[in-house]
Amino acid sequence: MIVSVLVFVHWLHATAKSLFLKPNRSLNGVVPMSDLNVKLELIESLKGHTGKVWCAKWNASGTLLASCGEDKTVRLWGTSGGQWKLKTVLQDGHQKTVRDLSWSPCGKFLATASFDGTTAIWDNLGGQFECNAALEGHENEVKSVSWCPSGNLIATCSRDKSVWIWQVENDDYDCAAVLNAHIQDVKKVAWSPEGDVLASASYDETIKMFKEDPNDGEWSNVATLKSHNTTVWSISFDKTGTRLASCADDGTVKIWRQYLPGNPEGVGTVDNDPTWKCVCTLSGYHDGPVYDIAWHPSEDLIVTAACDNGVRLFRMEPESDPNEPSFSLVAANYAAHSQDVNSVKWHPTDPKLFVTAGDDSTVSIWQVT
Amino acid sequence: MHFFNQKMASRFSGAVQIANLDDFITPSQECIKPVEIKKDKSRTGSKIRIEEDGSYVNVSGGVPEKLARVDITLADCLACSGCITTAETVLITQQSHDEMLRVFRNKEAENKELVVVSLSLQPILSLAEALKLPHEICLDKLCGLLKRLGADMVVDMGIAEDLALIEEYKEFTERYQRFINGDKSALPMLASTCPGWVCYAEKTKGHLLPNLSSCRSPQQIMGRLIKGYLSPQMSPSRIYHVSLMPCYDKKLEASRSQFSVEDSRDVDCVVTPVEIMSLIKDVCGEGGLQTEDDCALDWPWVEIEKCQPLTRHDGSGSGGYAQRILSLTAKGLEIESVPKFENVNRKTDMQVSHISEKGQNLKIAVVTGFRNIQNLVNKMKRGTCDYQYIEIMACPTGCLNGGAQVKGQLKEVEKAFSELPLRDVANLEDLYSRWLGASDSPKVLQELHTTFEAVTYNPNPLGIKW
Repeated sequence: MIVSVLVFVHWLHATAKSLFLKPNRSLNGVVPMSDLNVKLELIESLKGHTGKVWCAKWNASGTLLASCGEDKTVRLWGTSGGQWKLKTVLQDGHQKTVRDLSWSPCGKFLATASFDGTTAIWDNLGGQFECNAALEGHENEVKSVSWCPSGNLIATCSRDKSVWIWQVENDDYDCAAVLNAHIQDVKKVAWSPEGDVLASASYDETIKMFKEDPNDGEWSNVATLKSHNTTVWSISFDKTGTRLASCADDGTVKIWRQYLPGNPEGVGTVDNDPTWKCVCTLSGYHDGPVYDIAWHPSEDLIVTAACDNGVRLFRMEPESDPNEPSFSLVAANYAAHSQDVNSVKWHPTDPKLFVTAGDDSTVSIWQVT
Repeated sequence: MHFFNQKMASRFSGAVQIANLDDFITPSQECIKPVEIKKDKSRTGSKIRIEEDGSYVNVSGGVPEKLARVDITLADCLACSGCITTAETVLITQQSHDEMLRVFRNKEAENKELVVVSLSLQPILSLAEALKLPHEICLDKLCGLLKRLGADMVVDMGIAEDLALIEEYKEFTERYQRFINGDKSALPMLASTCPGWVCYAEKTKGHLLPNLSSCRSPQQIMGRLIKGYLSPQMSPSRIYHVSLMPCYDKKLEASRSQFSVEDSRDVDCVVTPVEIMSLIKDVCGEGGLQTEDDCALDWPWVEIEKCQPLTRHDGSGSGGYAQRILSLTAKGLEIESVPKFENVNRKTDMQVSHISEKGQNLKIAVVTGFRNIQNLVNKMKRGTCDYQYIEIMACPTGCLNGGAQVKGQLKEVEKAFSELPLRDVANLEDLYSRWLGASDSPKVLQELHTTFEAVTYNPNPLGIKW
């Protein structure tokens, strides 16, 4: 499968020996943007943050865009006259960098994770967003926060190596689990679309899956995904929750597939828990760490955000074997930002839009054409 | 909260799930102990030579001067969960069964006149289960072993547990009275016998310290009994006092500066079931503990009603604090049927009982494990905590599941505990009057109570890993 990706890349390479955008690179994955049939059009470039922007995400209806960053603020952007404009700046919720954010599925709540060790919960029940709760417990920097699809659980992770699950009940937040499965800094948490599985990515080079035991309500580590050899920066489930994309510090992207007990492929499972197997590795495309990855909400498209300032779109070859899928680069912008790209997220309802956030203080909205 | 749990427990990988290790507080990555460097102000620079043995010698003055090594002691680590390996190394040298044996074997050289070992209940049940011995036999053989190795006296900690329960209830009634008289800050009262919880509160929840019970834990009350009451004519430093406890964090507790008199710790060395298992392997030969002579516990407390070993108080396996406060409060209110503790959220690691008769609205809780402690402190912060007394233990479900108990047998140990005969708290008025003057004398505060101090620290910014 790696071979098939590489063959495809070589074929692209051979057919287009024309200009390279960053000519000093010798990566075989750098395909001139002009040679790719899908184009990425920058439709909005939102300025306002000072310093790095760490994350930008739309709410579930796609009407509000929230961004957060080094300036300790959260900015909410909305459309007026067809253009995205700053609506509100949320301040004083955090003492340090705001590293990540997550909207509740209902759109009334916004959770923000900060290096000050807390996760703030903002709500607009009073008409405008206000910080009305703080989840405290992590020993130090909270790196990521994720609201589960049903809205009753929130996951957070931290440099303190732990993953926490919080139960949401009548505006009260109780800790439902403290999971000390990782042995290093945990970078990202993500819920499966069904909300029954929580995945976490860590500096310890692994991805871990957690599930609740329906008998006693205890959460435990049910799978550990090992294949990356460096920090796993981010993870994203596909719409079915049976596949996961991950991106790492060495520039690789991996695709994992879930194999249930008794699967026809004969992949072994333990304790009636599914096994997650790496079925595809995309290497050679990124020049350095890939910080974020997002699986398209409905299609087999994956977009990445990297430290080489680039944004890349990969599509799964429709004919390829699900056990050995091939992904090919279909669009790219190698200068999407003027510095590291930290985050990338798809629009929840418009399948053509995604948003990126970068060290260049900019939030950018892109259209796939 | 369990500084040493994870590493030690990793030897028993099969036990990890049963002990629910995920719920323990784990150490952070960096040691934040600031290193104090003694400086001679007159000099601006110095030349340091590294000797072959690794020591540093200052050679900038006329005479080479050997520099002190920076030592991090166990007490420093009380302020920090930062460096598991350093703390462990210190533990192994300062409070291990090897150190205990060394002192046992060199009593004269160590200037020890009396060697006393105090046994708490939970470790005996744990050892009996691990060795597949009835607990009475296990206790007798363990006494025999300790005597053979050099102990002059082996005593049961029951008397100290009783004193702790008496003092805990006295403090609760006093706080409750203050609460009724309008001092809303007097409650809730939080138990402080668990050193893991105390250390956590001191490090991260300084604002809760006034709510902590000031009563010493049974281990530290035992320490005062042995070093302050047993033989008043003997200098405390000439007594070597070892305690057998279910928890590694008790080693940290014993190292607190509050629990030393004349530079002599009330408890010199804490050993645990995990260590006793390895001691048995080392010194008992192939036959194991069974080959040791039987020996009964000592009862050095003259004219004080003897406390039966291998009996338990009603309530939790952590001492039964909440149960006793509930029972006595209900009794004081002349409530006939004492309400029971009910599990919260289907789980046994958090239980609450509610007195709602006679115009009362009292809630007493048992909260164990890091997750429940988190929720409790968050509730207190938000002002939604409606409990008046909370028995807090860092280990999920409490001390029977202590971090240093032999792993993988919690269910069996819990069952053995539940089958032990119940006992009431002894009448210790005589002890109070002989030792402390009276049960309300100022000496009571001095000998049976303690203080807590918030620990503040500035993490070294160079140590932050992204």
